[in-house]
Amino acid sequence: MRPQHLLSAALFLAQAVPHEASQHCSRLEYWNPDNLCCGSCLQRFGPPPCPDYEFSENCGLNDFGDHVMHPFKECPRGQCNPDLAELCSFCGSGTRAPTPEGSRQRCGEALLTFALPLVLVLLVTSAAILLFALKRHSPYLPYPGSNTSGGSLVTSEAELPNLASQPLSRLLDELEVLEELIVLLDPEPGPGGALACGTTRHLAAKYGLPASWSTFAYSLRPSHSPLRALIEMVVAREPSASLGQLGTHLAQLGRADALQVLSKLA
Amino acid sequence: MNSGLWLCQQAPRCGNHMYNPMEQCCHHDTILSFNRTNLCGPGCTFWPCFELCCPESFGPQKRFVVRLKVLGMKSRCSTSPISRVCPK
Repeated sequence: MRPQHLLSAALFLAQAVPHEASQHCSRLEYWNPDNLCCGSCLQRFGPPPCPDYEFSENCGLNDFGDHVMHPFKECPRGQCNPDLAELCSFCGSGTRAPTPEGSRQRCGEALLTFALPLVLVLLVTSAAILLFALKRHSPYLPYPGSNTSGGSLVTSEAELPNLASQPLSRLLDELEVLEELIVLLDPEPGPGGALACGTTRHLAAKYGLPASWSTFAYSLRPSHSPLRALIEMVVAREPSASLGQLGTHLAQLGRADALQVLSKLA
Repeated sequence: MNSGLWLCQQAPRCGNHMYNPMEQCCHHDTILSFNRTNLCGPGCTFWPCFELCCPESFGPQKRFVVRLKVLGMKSRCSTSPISRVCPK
């Protein structure tokens, strides 16, 4: 019976103390295990994002640098933080105890200001995709001078301008095309993988990303595609990047097969 | 003094120290190796050199979301693309 009592006690204690406090730093600091010093929570995370929130113990970081809790939490009952200070204080004159709906409404209002423009952007993007889809269903007329036989990399000059005028971000919306490109450009592991030429790794280098980033991106597999991560990275860094630029890189890498897939968007 | 390979260009600084950008990154004034990982919430790991651990707490649900750092820019949780959503 004795081991069971000990186990029960240990479990009870574990539940009572969900986050172990830092062995080195005060409540509003976090332990940096690499620099062996305490860092300021305020300096790292900024002030609480909403009224009536305060920093969690050590801003949610343990002494190994792991994020084990959210950096902020709601004020305890009877305490307020209208001025976005680091810690809540007892609600005195000029302040009132927060009601659950009130505090959530303030954060909800902030959410609305983000959500409305996002909805508008989604509507515009959907309309643009619909227009492109309608264009694609029109009868296909081969451009004079086009040459795609035998996997040649020569594409007509009439196709490239069509791609050049379209943003790279469109590829993230065209999931079928993106999936085909992922299959072609993200190589399979195994003996043949190392022999593959013109993969996502090489494409990342074309976009100026270091080899270390490609190594990281490939370590995300299978849950995340390196190609998708690359496209998201390039779009975030350079919103004006175009599909034409991607096509040029694919041509330089000798990937006629991927270029043919990409030309579906032209 | 570090007796490693001398770089032929100015090494970047992280806080008060120089670091090798071919092997390390600067994360909150701390030099980390590329293969360094940390927890982002209880059920998720992330690479601090390449990703951001972003707590999201709009509404009653609180979760952690890992986002990609955009190289060459100061990455922010509000604008960086999502890499994955961490399970609770």
